[in-house]
Amino acid sequence: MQSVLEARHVSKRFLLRHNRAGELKVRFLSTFGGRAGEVKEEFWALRDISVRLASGESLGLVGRNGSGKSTFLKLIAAIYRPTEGAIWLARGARITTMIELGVGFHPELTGRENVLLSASVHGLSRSDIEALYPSIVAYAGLDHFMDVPLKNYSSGMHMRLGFAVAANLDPDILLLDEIFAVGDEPFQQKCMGTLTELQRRGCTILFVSHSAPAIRAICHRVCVLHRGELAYDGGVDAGLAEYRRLVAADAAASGQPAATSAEPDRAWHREVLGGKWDEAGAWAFEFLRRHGLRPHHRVLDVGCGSLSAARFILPHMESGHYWGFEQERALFDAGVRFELSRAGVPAEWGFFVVNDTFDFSSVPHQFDFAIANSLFARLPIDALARCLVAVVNKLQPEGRFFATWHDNPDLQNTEPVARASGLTTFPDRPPYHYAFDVIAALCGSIGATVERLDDTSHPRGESVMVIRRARRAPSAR
Amino acid sequence: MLDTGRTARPREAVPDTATLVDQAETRRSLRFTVRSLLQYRELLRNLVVKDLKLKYRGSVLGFLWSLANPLLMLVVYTVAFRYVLKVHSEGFVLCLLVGLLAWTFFSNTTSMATGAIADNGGLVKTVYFPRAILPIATVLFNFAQYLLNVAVLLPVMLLLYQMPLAAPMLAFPIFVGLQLLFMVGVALWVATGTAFFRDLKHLLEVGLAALFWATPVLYQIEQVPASLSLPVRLAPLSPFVIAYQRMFFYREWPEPSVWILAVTYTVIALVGGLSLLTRFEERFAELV
Repeated sequence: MQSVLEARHVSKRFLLRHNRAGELKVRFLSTFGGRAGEVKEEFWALRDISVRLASGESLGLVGRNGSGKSTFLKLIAAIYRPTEGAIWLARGARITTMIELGVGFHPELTGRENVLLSASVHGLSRSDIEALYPSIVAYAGLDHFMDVPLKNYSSGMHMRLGFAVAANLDPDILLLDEIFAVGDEPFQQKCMGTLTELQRRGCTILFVSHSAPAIRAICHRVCVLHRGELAYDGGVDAGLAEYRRLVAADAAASGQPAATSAEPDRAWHREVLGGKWDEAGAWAFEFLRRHGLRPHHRVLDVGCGSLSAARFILPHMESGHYWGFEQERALFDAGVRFELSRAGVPAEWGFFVVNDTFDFSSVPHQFDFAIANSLFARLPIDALARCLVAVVNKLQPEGRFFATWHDNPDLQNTEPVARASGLTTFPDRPPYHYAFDVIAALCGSIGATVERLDDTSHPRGESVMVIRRARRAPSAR
Repeated sequence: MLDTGRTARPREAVPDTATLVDQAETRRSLRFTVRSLLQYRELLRNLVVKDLKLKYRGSVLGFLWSLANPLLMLVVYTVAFRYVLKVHSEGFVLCLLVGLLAWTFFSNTTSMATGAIADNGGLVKTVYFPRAILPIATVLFNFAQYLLNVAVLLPVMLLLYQMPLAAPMLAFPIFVGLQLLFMVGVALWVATGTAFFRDLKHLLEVGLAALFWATPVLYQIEQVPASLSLPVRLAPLSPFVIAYQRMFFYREWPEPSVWILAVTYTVIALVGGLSLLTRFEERFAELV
């Protein structure tokens, strides 16, 4: 096969400027005082990468975060320019980049307007877009929503529309970053189906992913990037094995604990919620088991964070019965990339929803169990109210929602409270504390009942409550 | 063979795998820039339409609001000059209007263009397209409003002051076209410059305020003392403003020096701006 794309000895250097050199002041001063303190640090994101892609080939690109995968994709897309070497392309080859879903989308515009805009960002002409429009709408399955502003879409609909545009562009070369990893299972399956269809038509695909099953399903060949260098180029199975070996070797070299170790880890995503990361996750799992969690139940991990509890709950449940929700993308990503892989738990066993509005509209189930472990400490009261409404609406009639929180035993007290654990909690900034009665009043107003549990086993010293749907309208006590 | 099962989209060409070309080299040629600008004209159109829609969506009076600003300025300056400073001259308001509209187009475009690249990081970092589209879109967005302003206010003023039409007014479309190209050039310079030096935005705010007084908008070039006449004539927007005043107020053809300056400025701005942006656009994604 002749190649459609060749990276020849490509290197990319970034200059990290530690002294905000975008300012004229710095330039101006440096003309007088020699160097006015501008420190430039070189960072080679990629070094001497040579890869050839034959027409119709599908290449999986794997590597840890920061290994240069995305930079490589952006170099090929001509978003960045190589510092050394060059990207050679077949004359006339049309490249489509999917680094993000819904590029160019604007919340105030309607679905239709956004489709037109987003398709034209990818360089389509007007007649092309008009020809494609019906199939984009059909693909997204959003016929009745095309005249509704995007801001009224759920995150699931947003995603579907974004992918529908991308899926119908019909490129010669498709550059794909892990964009659909957050969707639910039917959505992911549809995306995979589309990729297979594109392959069948002869599209060349470069696919960045951390998901071994996705790579296996799509790719014929794998390249492993490691610290900006090409560590492996060849078969899929051997490539994935090499990737796992490198991850393990890195973990060993930096003295990080293995999956089962309870030693503390200094990684930021473990510190962000106030320490005791390992214990808190183990506690949540033990606690749920004690309260009757079985593999066939459906469980919602609200504020799953960096997946401390998911490591234990996911393998215990039947496939697809664990749902995690998280507001902070970065935290969740760190959980998937570092913690789940280290624990040897594939993220595909469960489903994850990431948004900051407790939007569960993409979740088709009601849950037997929900748990919010140390989440309330991160929520101001309006967000707490929103969380309660959203989760309670997703409970089975007999479902239970367990939540831990920092209690404020004295409703009159509006000052910070110093805890036995050494933590100080605040009424008006994180970590928040709440009086039980405040949460009980919120629950009462949305038709839920709440009960304080006599449980002092929480590793961060938080109290525990259980929230249920009320059978009837709440009556006066 | 390759075309079996393709979707509705017609394919111009199948990639020629026998000929590989260096992507970066191709993209830096001026010919490629012009070709890709043409290819992405639908994006340009959509960006302009988007901005216009977003600006007026949900407002009852819609476009009428963009008439409000020039009208208000017109009233303020008229009161200030005719009734406070007692400047008396027939048709002063008409003279003011043509200059003021041209100036508003110039200054709005220039300040908006500072953000054309710098504030569009989301797009610039995730997908390739010719970056010149972004500043050009801000120019066209402002141009659309300029044209509508002219179309509404100019006939009203001509009727109000009973100015008969005159042959020199035929030069109007030519100068509007030149000013449009000039603005495209300026926007390319400004957008590229601000991507590298954020301070340029603030510098321009100050610069525009100063430039306003150096341009014969509130006064006529004849009122300027001889010693200051040359710098005022050379100010970037002066040839255009003088030309508009000549056509509508004096009803005579703009003098040759005005033509020469307008064309020269347009060529410098456009050619310079396009080469500057083409030279540096590959670094935008790392800067914004």
